[in-house]
Amino acid sequence: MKALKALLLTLCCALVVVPFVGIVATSLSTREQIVREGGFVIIPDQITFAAYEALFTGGVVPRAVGVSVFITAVGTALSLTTTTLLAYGLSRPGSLGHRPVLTLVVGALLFTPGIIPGYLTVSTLGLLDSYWAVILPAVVSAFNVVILRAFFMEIPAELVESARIDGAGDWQILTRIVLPLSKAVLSVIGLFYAVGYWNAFFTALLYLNDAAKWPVQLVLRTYVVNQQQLGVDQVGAGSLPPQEALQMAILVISIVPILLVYPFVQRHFTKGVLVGAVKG
Amino acid sequence: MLTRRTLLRGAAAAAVSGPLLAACGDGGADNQNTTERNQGVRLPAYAPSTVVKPDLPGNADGLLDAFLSYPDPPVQQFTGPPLTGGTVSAFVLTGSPVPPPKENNPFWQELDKRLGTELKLTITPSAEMAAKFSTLITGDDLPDLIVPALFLPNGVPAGIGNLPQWMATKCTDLTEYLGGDAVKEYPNLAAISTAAWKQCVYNGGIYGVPVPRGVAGTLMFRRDDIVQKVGADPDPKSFAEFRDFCRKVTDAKANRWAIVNAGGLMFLVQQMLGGPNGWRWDGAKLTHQVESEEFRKALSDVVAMYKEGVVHPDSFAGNAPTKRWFNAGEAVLTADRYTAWPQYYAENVAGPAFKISGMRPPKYDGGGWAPTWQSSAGATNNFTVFKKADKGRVKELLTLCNYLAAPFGTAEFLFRRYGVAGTHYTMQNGGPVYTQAGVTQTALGVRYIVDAPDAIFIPGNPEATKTSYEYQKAVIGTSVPDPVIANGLFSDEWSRKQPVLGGIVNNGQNDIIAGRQPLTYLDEMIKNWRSQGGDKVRQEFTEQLQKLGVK
Repeated sequence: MKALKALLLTLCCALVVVPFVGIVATSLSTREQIVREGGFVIIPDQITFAAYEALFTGGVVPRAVGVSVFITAVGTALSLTTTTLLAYGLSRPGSLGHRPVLTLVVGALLFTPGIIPGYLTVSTLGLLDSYWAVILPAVVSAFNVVILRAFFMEIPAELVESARIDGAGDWQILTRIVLPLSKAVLSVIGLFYAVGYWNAFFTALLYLNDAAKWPVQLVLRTYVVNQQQLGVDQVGAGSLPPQEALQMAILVISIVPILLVYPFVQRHFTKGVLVGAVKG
Repeated sequence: MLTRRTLLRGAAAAAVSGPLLAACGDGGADNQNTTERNQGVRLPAYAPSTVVKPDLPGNADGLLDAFLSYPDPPVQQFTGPPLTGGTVSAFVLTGSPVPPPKENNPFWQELDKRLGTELKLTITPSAEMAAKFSTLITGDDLPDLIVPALFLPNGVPAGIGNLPQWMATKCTDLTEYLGGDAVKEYPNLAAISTAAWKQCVYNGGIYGVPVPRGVAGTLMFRRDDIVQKVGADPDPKSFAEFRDFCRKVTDAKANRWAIVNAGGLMFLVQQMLGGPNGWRWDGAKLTHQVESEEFRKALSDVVAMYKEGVVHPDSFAGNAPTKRWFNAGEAVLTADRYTAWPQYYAENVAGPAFKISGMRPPKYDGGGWAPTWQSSAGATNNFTVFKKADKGRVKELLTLCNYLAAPFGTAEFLFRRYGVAGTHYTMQNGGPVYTQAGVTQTALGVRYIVDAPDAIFIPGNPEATKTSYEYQKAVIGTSVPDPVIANGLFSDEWSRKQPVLGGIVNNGQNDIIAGRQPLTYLDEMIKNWRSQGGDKVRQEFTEQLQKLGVK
C-alpha cells in the first residue's frame, strides 16, 4: 500500500517536475538534438549555453528583467499600501463615505473597463510610455480589497476598542494592532499583486511604445508567440542557437526571479489562503 | 490585474472598435471608398529599376529577379543621406524578437546616421498588432508612418473595420506625389509593380506605400533528398499517382509521413481539381472556395488520405511546429510561402545532402500540370500610410521611403537588411550570413515600412536559388489570382468578419478530416459561413465586380 502511495505521489510530482526539467534541458540543448527529439529534450547529450549567451548579449533581456523587477517591487509596495488603507477605511463602520465607496469597489469587481476607455484614461493622464502606465491602472484590485476588508472586520472589536480607550487614533490602531495581526493575509495579497505585476504584458504592450521599456513578459512573448526567430526572407542563420532553445531559455529567465519570492512568503501562504477562504 | 479572461474581453472590445473608428470620420467620409473612385485613380507609372542587373531575370507575369550571389562590390545608389535632421516616427510590426533599444543598438544608430534623421519606432509584435492599432488610432498623436494592415492589404483580418474612413480623415492621399509620372521623382518607388500599388488604393487615392512581394505565394515544398532515397517518383502525374506517392514515402515506423498537415493536402488537391483561389467569379456569380464542388471533392479525398495515415499524426495540435518536422525529415511535403526557401536551408540539420524543391500539382485526372494559386495577399506583404502633413513633410517622407526601397544588390539594401559587414554579417560563399548581433539588432521592422521588389536569393546556395527560380518560372505564367485581390476590392464586412469566417472553414474542415464530423457536415458549415457574414461579403464584392465590368 505504501509503495503504491509512493508511486502515485512520484507520478504526480513527475507531472509537475518533468515539464520544468524539459524546459531547462531544452534551453541547454543543441539544434540537432532538439530537432531529433521533436522539440522537447529531457536529458541533453551535450550542454550548451548558446541560447543564454544570445539572450544576455543582445541587451534586451537583462534590461527587461530589470524593468519587471522595478514594476513588480514598486507596484507591489504601492498596491499593498493603498489596498490596506482602503480596506481598513471600509472595515470601520461609519467611516466617511463608507457606503458609496464600498459600492464603487464592488462595482469595479463586476465591471472592468475595455481596452479603449483604459487607453484613453492613461493617455489623458499623460502616462503613455511611462512605467506608471503599467503600475497605476492595476494598483488597487477590488478583489483584494474585499478579502482584506473581510479579514480586518474579523479582528475582535474589543482589541480595537481597548486601544481607543488607551488613546490610540486610527493610524496607531492600523499600524500597531491591525497590521501586525494581518501578516499572513498581507503576504498572500502581496504575492497576488507581485505575480500580477510580474506577468503583466498586455498593459505594457498597449501603453509602452518604446520597446526599451518593455518588461520581460512582453519580450518573452515576442520570442514564444511570434514563432519565428528571424523574420525571414533571404537570411543566412549560420550557427545561431535554435528557436526552441531560445524560447525555453527566456522562459527560464522569466520564471526564476518570481520563483525566488515564494520561499519567503511560503510560511504565511497556507495560513493566509485558509483565512481568506473561511472568514472571507 | 490582467488575467486571461480580461484579456479575452479586451480582444473582444478591440473587435468591436469599428464604430469608434467610424466616429473618427466626418460622417461624409463613408462614401469615399467606392469602386468608381478607386477605379479612376492614376497609379504610379511603372519603371523597373536598372540599377542592378539580376543573374536570372524576372518578368512581367510576376516572376522575381534572382541572384546567385550578392553583387560584389554592391552598387552604391546614393551619395548621401536622404534627410537632413529632424525625427521620423513610425508604427511598425515585427515577426522577430524585439531588438535592443537604440542606445545598445549600433545598427539602429548607424541607420539614423545613414538616413540623416532620428528614427523613432513603435515596434509591435505581429500577433498583437490589431489590439495595439485600435488603441493607437483612438489618440490623435499619430506617428508619421503607420503600418495599418497585417499581411492582408484589403482590411485588417483581426477585425478592424472602417479602415478606409479612418484613412480618409487622418492620412495623406499620396496621389499628387506619386500618381502617373510624378512617381519618377522617387525612382525606387517607381520600380514597385503596379499590382502592389493597386493594393494601396482607397477612397479614390493612393493611401500608402507598399511592401511588395512576389505573387507566387504558397507552394508545396518537397524534400528531394528523402524522395530520392525512398525511390518514389517525385512528380506524380495525377491525383491517383500523388496518392501512391504519399503512401510510398510514409513510414510511420521510421517516424516519417508524407505531409506535415491535412491543410496542405487540401491546398494541393484543390489546385489539382482547378478549384477557385479564394473566390470564383464567372461574370455573374461569385462563389467562395468553400462552396465550390472542388472543395467538396478535395475534402472527401483528403479525408480518405488522412485515414490512410499519410499525414503527420500531431498536425492538429495548436501551433504545430511544421517547419521543424519538415527540416527533421518527419514529413516530406509542406505547404509554405516562397519566402521560406532560405530559412529551410539556414535551419537545415540534414547536412549537405539536404535538398528541397517545389512540387507542382498535376491535373487531377492527369494530362499535364494544373494551374497554381497566386498569393492570397496579392503582390504585397502590407502597406504603410502617412499621417496627414504639409507638402514639404510628405515629400521628405517619400524621399526617405525612396531610400528605404533601394533595390537588392545595392549597398543600401545590404546595409538595411544585414547591417555592417563584420559586425552584423559575414560574407560566406557569396551570401551574407548573420552574426548573433545581426539577428538581434537588425530586426527593427523597418523593412515593413516600404521595400524594394522582392528577389529570389538563398544566401550561399546558388543551386538552391536556381531551383527556386526555375520553379517559379514554371508556374507563374499559368497561376491564378484571387479575383477579389486582383481587382483591388474592399469589403467592410470582409475586413471585419474574415477571422470568424476563416474560423468556420478551418475548424469545420479539421473536424471533418479528423473524423469528428461526417462529410455531410460540410453543408452545415457552408450554411453557417453564409449566415454569419459570407452572403453579405459576397454581395459587397459582387456589386463592385459588376460595376467594374469584370468578366
